[in-house]
Amino acid sequence: MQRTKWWGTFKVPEKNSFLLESPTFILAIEHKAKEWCIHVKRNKFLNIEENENTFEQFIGEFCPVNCGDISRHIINGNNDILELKPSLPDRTVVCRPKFPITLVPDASVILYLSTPIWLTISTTDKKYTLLKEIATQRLSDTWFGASTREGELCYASQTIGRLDLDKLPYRRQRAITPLLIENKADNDLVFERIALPAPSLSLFLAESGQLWTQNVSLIREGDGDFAQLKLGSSQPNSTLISGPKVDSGHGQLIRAFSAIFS
Amino acid sequence: MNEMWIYLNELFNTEMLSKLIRVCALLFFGFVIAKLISRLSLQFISKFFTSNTSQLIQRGTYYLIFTLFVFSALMELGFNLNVLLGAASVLSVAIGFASQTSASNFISGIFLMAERSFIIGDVIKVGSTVGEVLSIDLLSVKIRTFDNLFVRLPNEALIKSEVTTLTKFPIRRLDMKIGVAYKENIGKVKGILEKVAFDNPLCLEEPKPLYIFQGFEDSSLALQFSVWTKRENFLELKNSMYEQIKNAFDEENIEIPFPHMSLYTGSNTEPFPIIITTVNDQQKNNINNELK
Repeated sequence: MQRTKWWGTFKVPEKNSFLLESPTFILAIEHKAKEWCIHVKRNKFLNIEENENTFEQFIGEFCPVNCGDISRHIINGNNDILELKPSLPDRTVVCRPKFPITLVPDASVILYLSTPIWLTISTTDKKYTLLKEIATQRLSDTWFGASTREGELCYASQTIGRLDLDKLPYRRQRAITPLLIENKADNDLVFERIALPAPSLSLFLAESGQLWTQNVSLIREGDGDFAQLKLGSSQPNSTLISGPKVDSGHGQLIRAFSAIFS
Repeated sequence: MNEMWIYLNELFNTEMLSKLIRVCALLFFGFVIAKLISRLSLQFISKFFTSNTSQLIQRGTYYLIFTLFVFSALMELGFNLNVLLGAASVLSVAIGFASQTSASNFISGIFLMAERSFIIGDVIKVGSTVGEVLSIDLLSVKIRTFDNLFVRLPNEALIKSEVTTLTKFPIRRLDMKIGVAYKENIGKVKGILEKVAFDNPLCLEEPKPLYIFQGFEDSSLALQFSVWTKRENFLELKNSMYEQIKNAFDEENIEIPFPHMSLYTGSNTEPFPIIITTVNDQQKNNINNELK
């Protein structure tokens, strides 16, 4: 079933506002003279299984009130076209399956990980002007590295880590990554968390309306937490929405599995 | 007058004149070459060292080269440098005694720069002074405290004492001492604290928050709850965590006790009985008169 897009290009004349509302997220964009005001409010996310798919859109002459944090963007010129486009997080996302997973030697598994998406807000008339990039869900910070001295700051996301494609729920605010993990080492791979390099991935829109990234493979060949990252192809009949934010890192060795320290 | 003229003529004869010209040329070219080499060296060494160190090396190079040319000029004039060296050694002993502290600061500064335990821009704590490093100079380190005061710390003092660099590592741990009443359920309190940490987006999920039961204190159960955050968010996390813990405790009716003491006259004695009576106005006046 084709679901209608909740993002795209909208005409918002001056003195009008655009409202996008879901149970967990409210976005209001007010068009004033030579200025766009962006209001963002997020509710606490209660359950990773919760239905996020109800969206209400509205464009009209109203002034957003009590819509959270406000930012003002002064632009050159005065065009009415507003573009909303989904994108991926700007940091690596550390996904924590509900239960630890063990892969025996020579075993492989495809996990379907979902990550909340970001929204790129821009105006497009004769020239593309990026206003702001916001997260639909404020993810918690986390550290991923060998010690508290070396590593990188990431986002933490809890995931079911499904294995069955048919049981994947349709969720508009999340992008699904098919992650293939191969353990070619001689010992078991036990992991409680996986680092997904979200800035290196591209975002695609499938015919069903679900957002996907390209296939990702992590191949572990030696002991330890490092694995070779390989970026595969996208889902069939899908359209590219946004490219990677950073160098793809295809073929590089990355620290992908659980942090060592406690 | 004639004799004086003859004397001056002999003094500034051709040989002496040519010597003077050579000396002036040595000094002039020495100055130019020293300036040129020091500027060229700055472009090269600034790639490997900080701006302070590069400037130091540049000045040292300039003075060394110029001093060599000055010595050459003095030898050209016929001075016996052995005498000068002798005088210099006596002078250096005198200067050495007088400038012990400065020399110690200078050498300590070299070691501080070589160690690189902190750089310009870092926030350091020395004793009770906390501030941002503005410059690491020959004799001292200058810092700006958070209430905008300028503090000069001698290098010798820094080498001898404990220096804490607060901005060395990217993440930092916040240790919170929390006391709860004896009547509270410790497991429940632990659960509340962990939920507060989980709900705070600034609090890192990894490394996991640390919970330690410190012991049984006089008036409360002493707990330590430590959470990690990105270094830049430390203050914001500290304020938000204390506020959220207080709110969570209030919602769950967890008591944070103030210090209190129970009085006993003996090991098995009942608490002192207190009887409250009402007095009429006449009795009240009598009591007031007695107190007067």
